Amino acid sequence: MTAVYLDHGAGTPLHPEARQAIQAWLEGAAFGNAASIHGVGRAQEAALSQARAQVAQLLNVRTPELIFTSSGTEAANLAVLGAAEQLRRAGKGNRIVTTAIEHECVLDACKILELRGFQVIRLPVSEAGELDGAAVEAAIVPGTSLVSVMLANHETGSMLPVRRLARRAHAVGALCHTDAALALGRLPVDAQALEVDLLSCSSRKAYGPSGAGALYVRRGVTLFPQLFGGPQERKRRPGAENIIGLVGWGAACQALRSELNEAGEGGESLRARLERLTRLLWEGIQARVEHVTLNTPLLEPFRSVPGVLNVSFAGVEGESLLMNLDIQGISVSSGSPCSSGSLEPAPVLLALGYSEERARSALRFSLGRTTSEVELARVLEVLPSVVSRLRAVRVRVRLPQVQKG
Amino acid sequence: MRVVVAMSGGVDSSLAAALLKEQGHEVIGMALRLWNYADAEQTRQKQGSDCETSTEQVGTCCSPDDLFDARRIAEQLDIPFYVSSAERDFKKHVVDDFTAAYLNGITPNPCVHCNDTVKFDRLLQLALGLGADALATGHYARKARLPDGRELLRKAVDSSKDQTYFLFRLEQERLAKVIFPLGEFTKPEVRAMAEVRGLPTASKHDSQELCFVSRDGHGAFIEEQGFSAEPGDIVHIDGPVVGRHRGLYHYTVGQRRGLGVAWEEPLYVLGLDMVKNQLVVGPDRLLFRSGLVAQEVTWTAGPPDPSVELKARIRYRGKEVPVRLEALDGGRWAVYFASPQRAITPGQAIVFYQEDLILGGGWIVEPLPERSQAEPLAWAV
Repeated sequence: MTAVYLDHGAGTPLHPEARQAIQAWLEGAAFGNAASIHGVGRAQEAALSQARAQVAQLLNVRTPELIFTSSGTEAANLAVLGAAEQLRRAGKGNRIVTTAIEHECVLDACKILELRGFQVIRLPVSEAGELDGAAVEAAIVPGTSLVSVMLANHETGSMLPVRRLARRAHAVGALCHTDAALALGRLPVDAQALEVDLLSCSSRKAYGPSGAGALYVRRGVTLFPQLFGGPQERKRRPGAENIIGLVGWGAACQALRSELNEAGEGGESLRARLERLTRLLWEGIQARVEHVTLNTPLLEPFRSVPGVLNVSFAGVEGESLLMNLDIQGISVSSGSPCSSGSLEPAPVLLALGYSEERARSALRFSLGRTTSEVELARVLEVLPSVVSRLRAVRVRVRLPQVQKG
Repeated sequence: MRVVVAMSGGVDSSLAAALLKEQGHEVIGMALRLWNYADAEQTRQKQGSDCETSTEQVGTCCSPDDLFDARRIAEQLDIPFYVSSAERDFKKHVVDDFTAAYLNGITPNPCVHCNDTVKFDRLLQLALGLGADALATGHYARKARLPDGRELLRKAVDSSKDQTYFLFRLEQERLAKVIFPLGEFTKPEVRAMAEVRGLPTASKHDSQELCFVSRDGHGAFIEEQGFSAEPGDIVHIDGPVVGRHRGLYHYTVGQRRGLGVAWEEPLYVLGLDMVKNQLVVGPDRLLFRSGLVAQEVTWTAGPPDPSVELKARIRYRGKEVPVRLEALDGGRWAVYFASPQRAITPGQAIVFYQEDLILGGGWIVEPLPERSQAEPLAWAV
């Protein structure tokens, strides 16, 4: 039985280039502090600089604009908390606008801001994954200090019009942050073209190792630090960097830059390939399984990140489906993978206005650079029988109607 | 065959999984998340596993620590392991029922309700959904097959650990799919076997307290749910008011401690008068009653033949006593004991045995009026 990994949205396999770079680094001088003056320290600094250049190039930003963090979550926290705090101190207001479907790293940071006296507006997102233009106009008004909107949603893959929102934010004197964790590595992410001031991303979701993330901070933007006590990252994020991780991620970013844009084997780019395979998977599911609902805006107009396919299988619990596929060696996700194995319906899907039934029966397939047609064929072979068994069980199992004494 | 094992993180379910794996079955571990301990803020001081064991230890079920243990065992056994959320069902069918029962003067048995309405249903659904042939649990229980093919629960070999009292609600359809790998073993044997196999849960404490109720007891729990106590009078069965009670849900029939009443003889709770908000107390001898009414009585393989010598148990640790039955209307049965039983408690389960077979059971409504007593007590239910 071949293992099929379709949970790239939770974490991507290490890029071979990353593995190689890490191995080479480990054989060299993998210790010391990049902030030290001596030769050992300088070697660390050189490695860090290279990684910074590699990640910066992928995001099309300048190296001083990049802050390395320990994770995508830390990067997003620093963006939201650091910008909000700094702007309030500068008298630029305390009104934050975000959406109802952000990842917890932004949602929970916003909750903290509310506790600290900020006003947080959460824009509703329609079932189709769209923002309401009038609501956006009404929310992003003068007095708003920060707008935080994700580039692509982690459950459905749907993309939000970040550039438009950034322009609107700038028009009222606010900054704009985007959480690009899911988008990076699936399509070209150009922070300048997006016109955002802050952009956070994660190594783990972009073919690097766990334990590293980055925040792009446009030149001229100041953040109030969330950690204190060292010179690293120009004091904007003190604490020694995860150099081994960053060496790996940097190499992955360098490789991704060409893979995403340039035609590889078979004459198509990674982006085009992911898009094609995602459609292929959806068409295959549609042809083999009845009563399925597409939760990803995959069809015209295409508004989703390539490689993510979220589907609801009516009458089936996503968690049961996930377990069944896992036993067959197929890894997918349902619900919120970030809440440590808990399989409650994803809050994002409920926030999109899905019925409880549709949210509970949702399954997310997330493809990656190594996903093959053969793997998708295997999924399509297993899926129909599992779904029909689960639908049958649901009918068969008696739910007791006993009243208590 | 493919077997789903309900794993709670305790020694029993750990060993059950290990034994099935050794027998060559394809084993899948499954745990249910029943209660949000983070919200309840009680978790970390507790330890343990299954809720329905003995009276001497402390613990909970399915706390984060237990799930961690279960996951560790599954890794060691190299079997898949999943945690399914059943918090909503648990709150609805077990916790809310528990609170409502106390507020209505009844002493609930949440473990039986949990098995009946949450655990076995959810686990069986998951197991069948995974294409499993059976669901295994670490309960101390066995099954017996009747000549007609139907099955009955049978007591475990280790009578001190037998848990069939908690399982009497399993009817044919569910019973047919459930297996109990530990039914033939004693607890010391189970611990020894777990130790031989290097299971880290081998010496883990048995659990005891209700998994969702803190050490402060059920009264504090009910108050956490937003209800407040209504103090009232404690009245002696002979008439006089002898003290004040803290709210009726703090008390259970047969209770002696915590009444705060000085009297010429030891006083016990005889009953809860919900209408008058009075706690009725009296001497121990009045707790002994010769019969009761049970409701929602279910029989695993049909009602027993009148010629069968039946015994019954009115609490988990209770002694079995010979009984005679009389069918009333609407699933209610009158039960007559061969000798009077102490502290018949509304809301507890009565389970019927024929030797070591469990024939069925129901919920205690109230004791039957005593013929010798001129005026039967008004037992509020």
